Amino acid sequence: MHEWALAESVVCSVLEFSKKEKLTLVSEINVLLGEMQVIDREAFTFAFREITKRNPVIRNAKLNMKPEKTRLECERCGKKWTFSLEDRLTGNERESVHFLPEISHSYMKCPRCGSRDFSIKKGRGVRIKSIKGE
Amino acid sequence: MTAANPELDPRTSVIGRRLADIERVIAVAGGKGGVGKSSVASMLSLALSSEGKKVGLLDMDFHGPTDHLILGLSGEMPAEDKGIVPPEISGIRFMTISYYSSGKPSPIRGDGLTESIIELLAITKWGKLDYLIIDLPPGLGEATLDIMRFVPDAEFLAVYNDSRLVKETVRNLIILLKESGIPVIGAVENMGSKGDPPEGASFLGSVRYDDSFEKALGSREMLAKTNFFADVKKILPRINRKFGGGQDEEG
Repeated sequence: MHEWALAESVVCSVLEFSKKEKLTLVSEINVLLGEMQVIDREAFTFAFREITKRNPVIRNAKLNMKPEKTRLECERCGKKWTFSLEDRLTGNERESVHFLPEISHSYMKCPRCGSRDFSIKKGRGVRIKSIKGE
Repeated sequence: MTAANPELDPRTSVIGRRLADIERVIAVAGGKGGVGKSSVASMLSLALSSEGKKVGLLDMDFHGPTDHLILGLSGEMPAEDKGIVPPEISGIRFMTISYYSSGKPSPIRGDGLTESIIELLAITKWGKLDYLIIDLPPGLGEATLDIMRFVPDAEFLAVYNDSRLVKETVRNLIILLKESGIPVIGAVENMGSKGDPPEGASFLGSVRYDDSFEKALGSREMLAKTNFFADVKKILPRINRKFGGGQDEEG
């Protein structure tokens, strides 16, 4: 689990954006959590609160986290699919994908043609959907 | 209340912070495969470490990582402490996707490569280092371009051998780097001692072909006894002189 590092990157990014847009108070941050990375929401929230608690610009911001379903597409045969990590990967493999989603190419193949040449279209990791402030 | 919809990738903002305590980042590139970038990058890391420097090594060749074979791994894994902390292998803080790929193929396309490069740069906690050596794959693709983009303080060191085919590719790499205002420390000749660098590069030194290198793979002690290691050590003062000017005595 490295949710702290991911939360830190969100905070960094929001503060950078706020500076650019001259926001003095961030009231809400909407984050997408890609299912492939299996991010622990509690650990992520805890880290976010700890990192922001001394910064008046962001410390009272509401953090909304929405899951983003995984969408994979085979580059060879065009098959589109989604999956549950539990169905296909061992514990160690899930852990590796949690850190580096692209390593899924080492462990997964297209369910139709068996190719490792697929793309992760959605559900990869953490993205900021929107920031509200003034 | 103003609402902003940036659709931001949060990871890129934090990369600078992850690299903030690193004195010098040196990217080892070469354009052509097989010239010995990984060997030179790994041996450079070991040589710097042998002189008491705190060194990190990042294997950015995600398709064909090999630094772990040179340094030798025995089941070590990164620790987790508000990010991932590379373990110390043969005295070097070492990061590679090999920790996560279980020795299986990792065929990752362009966009996925950039995603994984950004991910590793965003979550790896290097701590305080004198040097971070980045071993780049061949070509002028994602890894080279992403280091140029996300690590603006990186200096480049080119590895070549005495073949027109190689020197032509390195010449173009140097043009690309200089156009972008990226410092090029110089060029190291591998597997030879002709001393005739590609156009545009200062000559740093030669590493002679050493057939004991293959047998020494995976053992810090054996690698330190090779001519390869001795030749790389001779180049260190020139690398340091290009940085601060006279930081080390000429060996």
